[in-house]
Amino acid sequence: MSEITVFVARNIRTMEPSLPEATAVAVRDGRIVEVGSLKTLQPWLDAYPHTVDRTFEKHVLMPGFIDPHLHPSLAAYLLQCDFITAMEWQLPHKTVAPVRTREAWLTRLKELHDAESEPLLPIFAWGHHRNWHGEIWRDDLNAISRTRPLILIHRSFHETVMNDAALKYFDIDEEKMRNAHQVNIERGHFYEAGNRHVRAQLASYLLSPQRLGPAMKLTTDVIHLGGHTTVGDMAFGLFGAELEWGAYVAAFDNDATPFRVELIPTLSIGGVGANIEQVRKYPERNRHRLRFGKHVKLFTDGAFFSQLMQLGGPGYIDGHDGEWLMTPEQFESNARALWNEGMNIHVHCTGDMGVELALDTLEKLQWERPRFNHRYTIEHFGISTAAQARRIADLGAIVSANPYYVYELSDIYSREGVGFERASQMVRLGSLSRNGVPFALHSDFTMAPARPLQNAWIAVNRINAAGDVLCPNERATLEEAMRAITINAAYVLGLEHEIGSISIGKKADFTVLEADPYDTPVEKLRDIPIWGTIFEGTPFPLGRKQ
Amino acid sequence: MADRPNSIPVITIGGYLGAGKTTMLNALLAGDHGRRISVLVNDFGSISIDEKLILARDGDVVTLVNGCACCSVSGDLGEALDNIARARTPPDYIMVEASGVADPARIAALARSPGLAPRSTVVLADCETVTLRADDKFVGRLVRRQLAGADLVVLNKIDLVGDEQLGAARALVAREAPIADVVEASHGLVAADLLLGAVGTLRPAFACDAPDQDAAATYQSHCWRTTEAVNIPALRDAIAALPATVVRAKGIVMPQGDGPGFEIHRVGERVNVTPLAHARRTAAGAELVFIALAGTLHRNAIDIALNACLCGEVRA
Repeated sequence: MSEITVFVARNIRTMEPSLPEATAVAVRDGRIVEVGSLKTLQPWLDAYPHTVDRTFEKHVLMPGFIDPHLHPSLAAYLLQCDFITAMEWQLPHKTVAPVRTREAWLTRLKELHDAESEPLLPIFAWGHHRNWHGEIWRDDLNAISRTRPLILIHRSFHETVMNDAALKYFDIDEEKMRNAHQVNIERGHFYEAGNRHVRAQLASYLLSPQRLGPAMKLTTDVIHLGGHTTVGDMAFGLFGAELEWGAYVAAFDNDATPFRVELIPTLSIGGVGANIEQVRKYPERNRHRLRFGKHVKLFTDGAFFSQLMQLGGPGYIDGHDGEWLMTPEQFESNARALWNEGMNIHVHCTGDMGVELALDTLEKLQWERPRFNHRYTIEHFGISTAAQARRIADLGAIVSANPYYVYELSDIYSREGVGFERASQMVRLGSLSRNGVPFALHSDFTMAPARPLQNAWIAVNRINAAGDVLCPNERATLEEAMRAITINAAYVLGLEHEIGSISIGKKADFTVLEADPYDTPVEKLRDIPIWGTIFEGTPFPLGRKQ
Repeated sequence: MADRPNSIPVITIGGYLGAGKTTMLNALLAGDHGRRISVLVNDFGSISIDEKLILARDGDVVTLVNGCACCSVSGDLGEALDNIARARTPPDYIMVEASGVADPARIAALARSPGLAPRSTVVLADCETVTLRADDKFVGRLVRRQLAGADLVVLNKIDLVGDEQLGAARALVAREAPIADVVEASHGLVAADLLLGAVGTLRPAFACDAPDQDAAATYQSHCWRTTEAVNIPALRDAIAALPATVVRAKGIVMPQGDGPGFEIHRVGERVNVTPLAHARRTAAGAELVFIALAGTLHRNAIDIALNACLCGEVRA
């Protein structure tokens, strides 16, 4: 048994209503011995050898932040790109300022090109969006360089633009591409179905063994930078289960990693994902920082960023339709198989009809075989109705929401496709609160920055990127938002007995803040600097001061 | 679109879950039709091929003694298609089974790729359930959109329903897929040539002897028929010159003597003339059906334009 360490802090926000504030927490062997004050901890200190660590005397401790929906493999892929986007991104190696015109986009790329001394190293630029940056094609990239491969990846990942050098580097046969559907080779443009002609080349480059290691290190830094001590990979196996497991073990299964990853597999759709036998066996692989539980991910409708969510009547303004990712019958039979195994089911739902299918199915399953404490979780929760918020409560379901939709998309969706009533009410956390539904917040990085305090800021303010306040009645309270990135996020992952609050016997995971969120004006919540984290009792300062 | 030389025709098989896609493909794979067809399916689980017919199994591909193959696609469908296009001995046809929630038109778009040529989209509908599905709150729009994207609708399982239900299913298809051909089937049994697009059909509602549509219909049709010899290049030009409101035209032209017959299609403003795969000894002449948006169909104008293509009328 090791010595006790007592961390003394200006304030400790425990997220436990019985003892919401404290000033000292005793830690031994990665777990909390007791929380309170130096005075109340005295019996422990009298009984055991200990040291008092006053490093955080001027800081505020919170339970280690938890993002219950963040895919490290996807992050590793994307973080190798230079972000040139309409929104600000705070990344470990840099803060990327927003770029909102065509000229500024091209100037930024030119700067990156000029700064890179290795003349033939490809540059991948992610984040272009026509609404902000206009049209940028092959010749625009050629004007920056004809010799360095330059690859533009759209914000949605569904489109790619390449310059001459990139087409050559990735061995694209231009003559053949002249007739290809959804390819405009003069513009170097590959989109939707045509994107397949370059996708495999890009993935084999970006996920090659020699690049994957450094990319996972960047991913580790991004997760740490947000102040996380736990993340949930809410669809383990996106790029292949064994490729990911190998990369995760190599990157995360060591004492230098300041967080753990909960792995949530998906049930097979058309050959991708695990079958139920694999789901049962996955926990046999568990490592200290990599754990499978009894949680499984299912999907209903399409992507929110691509307006492929399923909307109920009257549908989209432009008349297009959303997508189902599997038939409602397949969804129901998968959900039933998992329900009857006693599994906890997480359902990706982006539109109100996706939510409706998830809830109709839950109601059937409850009728057939009632379960308490099933933690059936609606993931993302983009568009929903007020009636559904009540029904979620009635059926005992919970929600893990991505509030960043409000920030980045509410302005444009209120004008295009969706309209103001639905766009302003997306991610209706206020309705959940009024119905007593527990909810967590997540980033689904890079659908949102991996910054829990920014997500909490959006949830309590509902200020979008255009600076407008959207539907104040759907705001969360500060307390709810802070619970949503700590104890309720733990609850979503089924780990509320281990993490998510500061209390006796739990893991000694803390996020160390330079200011107290409860004493900070809510409109400044996202600006609170993070000193770093403590993971299972070991401090991990951030590599650089913010 | 005209198939480019050496391009493999791709037929997309769509339809909602339970419509009978797999049953139909099973029958086709085992069939004695003399064509080498590669079928791409979502998973082998549902395909049941008689072991006696299997020549080889190699990972995701099962090769059959009749030259057909069945490939299970677990990753990117577009890549799987491209791989077949690049194969050393490419098949005569590729059939892609779309998932029950896919819009087959989007799948068909994947076949617009070097070495491939989209031929047609076949959508199956289960007579027993299709009318209910078309009103379902979750999939109603999807099922209707699938039908609307079909070139050929297979109204399947007609043996399982009575006249009333069959009538309702026919009416639904007529409403949602007014310009598609329709064939009725049970157990997914449809002639291979029909699925492969080698032989055209004329759906009853648009055949020449069908009664005209009521005034509320979205589309109206007109039939032009002759027993005289027709100048085919002139006919092609005349059909191409018809106004854009003529959304579809199709029919057959038979020459005098022993020459091959031709099938003529106009989809949108593209006209395609292809030799009939099988010599059918029918009398010389032509039979063409024109479909136009309601209220825009000028029957006299069509007749005048086409009558000018009769061999007796064409001036050098």
